[in-house]
Order: sequence, then C-alpha cells, then structure tokens
Amino acid sequence: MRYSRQIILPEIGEMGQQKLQDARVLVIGAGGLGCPVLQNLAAAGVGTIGIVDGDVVDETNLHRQLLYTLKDCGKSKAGIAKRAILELNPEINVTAFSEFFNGDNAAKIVQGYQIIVDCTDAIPVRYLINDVSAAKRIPMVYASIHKFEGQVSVFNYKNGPSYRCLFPEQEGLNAVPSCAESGVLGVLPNTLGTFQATEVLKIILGIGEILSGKLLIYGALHFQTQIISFVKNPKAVEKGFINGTLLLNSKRTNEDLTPEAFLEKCKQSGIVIIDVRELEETPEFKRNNVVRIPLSGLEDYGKKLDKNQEIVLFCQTGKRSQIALNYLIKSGFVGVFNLAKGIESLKNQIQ
Amino acid sequence: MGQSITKYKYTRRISKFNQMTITLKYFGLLADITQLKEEQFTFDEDTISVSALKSKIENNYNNIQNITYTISVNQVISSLQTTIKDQDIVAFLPPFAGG
Repeated sequence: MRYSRQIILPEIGEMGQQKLQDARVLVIGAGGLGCPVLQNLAAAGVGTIGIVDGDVVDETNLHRQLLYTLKDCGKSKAGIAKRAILELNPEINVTAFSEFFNGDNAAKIVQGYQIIVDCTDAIPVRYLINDVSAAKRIPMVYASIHKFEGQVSVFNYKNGPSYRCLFPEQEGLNAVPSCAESGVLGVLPNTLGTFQATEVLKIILGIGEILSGKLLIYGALHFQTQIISFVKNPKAVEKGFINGTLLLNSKRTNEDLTPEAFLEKCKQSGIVIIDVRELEETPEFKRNNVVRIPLSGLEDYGKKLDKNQEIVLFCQTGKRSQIALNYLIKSGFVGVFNLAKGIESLKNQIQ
Repeated sequence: MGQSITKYKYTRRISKFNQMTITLKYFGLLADITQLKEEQFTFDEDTISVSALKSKIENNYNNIQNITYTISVNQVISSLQTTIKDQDIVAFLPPFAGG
C-alpha cells in the first residue's frame, strides 16, 4: 500500500497518516521551490493542496522546476502542476489558482487552509503572505534562495515570531534580485523546497522541532548550514496581524474609478491623491491633497505612507496609474483607487 | 589576514592595550558586494556596538547601505544596541528573494 513505508514509522502510524489526509496546505508559487514542495506533499498523502501561480511554464524554468516538461511551455504552472501531482497521487484533492497572490484575491484563496507555504520570488508578496498568515493564525513555511544559498524558516507558528521580526523594514528591497536576474543552481531550490516540505509534514504530524524563531541558512558551495535564532518582536507581529486582518475583513474596494466617481472620491477627507505623471505633464489637476510623484519615485513615497491610507491615483491615460495601483496593492496597501481612463477622461469635468 | 590575526592574538596577551578581533560573515547579495564569505576585523577597543560596526562596514563597502539586512551576533539576531566583544561572530543577513 502506498503509504506503508511511512506508516511503519512509530512517529507517524495510521493516526499520522490520517492527519496528513485531513491536512489542507496552500502552496503559493509553483516554481523552483513550489515544485518539490508539491511533489513531496502529494506523495506523502497531504489530503488537500492548493496551488497558486499566475505564471506560465518557460523553457528557462526546466533546469530546476521538475514538475514540468518541454511540452508544458506556455501553459499555466498551477494547472500543469495540479495535473502532475494528481498523476503522482490521485487520492488527494488539488485546487489550482492560476493567478498571482495579491491583496485582492488573498482572502478568497487562503480560505480553509491550515498552513501556507511561501514559494514566491518577490519580497512584497512575502510580507503579504506573512500578514495574512499572522491574521489567520496559521503558520507560514518560508524559503528563499540566492545563487548557491538558501534560507528556511517557519513564521507565525503557535504565536511565534513572524517574517517581520526577522526583516522588519521593506525599504530598499528592490535591490534584492530574484532568480531571473541573478541566476540559480538548479538543484538548490529543490533542496530548499524539500526542507520546506519537511517542516510542513512535521507541523501536520506534530513531531520534531519546528524552525520557529530560527533561520536556517544553507550554503551549497561549501556545504555549510547554520541556524540563526531570533525572537518575537511584538510590535512587528502586531503590525502584520493588523495589516492582514484589515485586508481579510475589508470589503476590498481597490477599483477603477469613472471620472464622476473620481471627482467624488477627491472630496473625501483624509485621502491622498497621487499624480504619477512626470512633473512637466499637463493639464495640472489642482487640489489641496494632490501630490505629484512620478512613477519612479513612488516606491520611496509609498514607504512614508501608512498601508491603510486611502490613495487615489491618476495619470494621463490610466496606464501608469494602473501600474502604480498594482505596485501599491502588492506592497500591502488596502485602499487604492485609480482613475481608469486617466486625466484625459476628465476634460469635460475640469475647467 | 589569517596570519595577522595569529600575530595579533599573540601580541594581545603581552599588550596592555585593549583590542578585539571579530569574524564577519556575509550572505547573499552582501557576499556579492564584498566579494567575501567572511573576514576578520581587529579594533583597538574592548567592545563595539552593532550600530558602530554597521557604520564601519558601510564605509568600507559602497552600496551596502542601499541593502536591507539583519545582523546576528553569535547566531542570534541582534539589535543596533547589541554589544559585540572579542572573538564574536557577526553575520550580515539580507533577505533572499529567489524562489
């Protein structure tokens, strides 16, 4: 029988296998880390698995993302990964979300899951996952890689420290490259993803010691591992908890505004209106609460704002403000609006 | 570097001056920038705070100040006020992004 070699372990047994069968795990990112996580969880018999990835398979993924083959190129990673792990183990339930995890879909996607595995490759979404995990009080199993090195940890486990306790500020994180920019040894994410899967299984089974409050650093080139410990920073945990709770509870209204709705919104008190056009662009839209922050300066400006600050964005045609909106939402802002067709659509309304 | 450390350890015993030697380890992007996995530093002081060390290192290597990182002392994440002593091992840990 399929699971006999793990059931035979006294630490697992029939009861442990039942726990695996009953477990619901969400894997965000089906790339280098996500593939081995998914393979191992499916093989072990984790009963319900969600896969979130808005990307498609690319030939450059194949050296490390072992669920995919050449003929999958161009197809949805979430969809292909689902098919592949169901082939491996048809006894489990798998849901594919072919979309990138963001503030808009977070509440819908995480519904019902008990553990989140962070296999993403962007720092802003990591804060989002942390905050959602903190708010839902479910653990987040983290790993990330850089060239020949990797980090693993478990956040928000039984009220333990969060990602924000380890890396508190978001400033300057654009300087951190992802695999596409800096290169990666193909085997590395497979090692780290397998570490993540190990932590997931231990959490479900309630065995061993979990990497909570500990950051495991693995260096493949010199075969070095070290464990750095860190403590809970209540303020950092609370920040994530509040952000996540607001996000999950808000009737999210990030949306495109018509010219009429935009002008109405601009009258609202406490709102910040950001003109993301270059400074020389006209016509000028004059209001007390309008600031001119070209797209290139938005990252810096965004850091000064509270994530709950309501923001209205506009540009000439709606294109740049849409980019700005996506960026701010990814950074964790919860109330962002966008003048859909830009200031050009306002021509009749403004004198 | 290693040689000078050995020499220093010897002189320290007979010297009346206070000195400290620490090992710095760099990870991720910080190892790329410094082109080093680790190095040793000697200061004419008994102790140094994490924030003072951070400034010294950021003076030594351009571009480090643009990167977010956490510092651990003897494998425990520190605060800026943490005191570093002789023989401590200090790691510079940036978050990784790849997945």
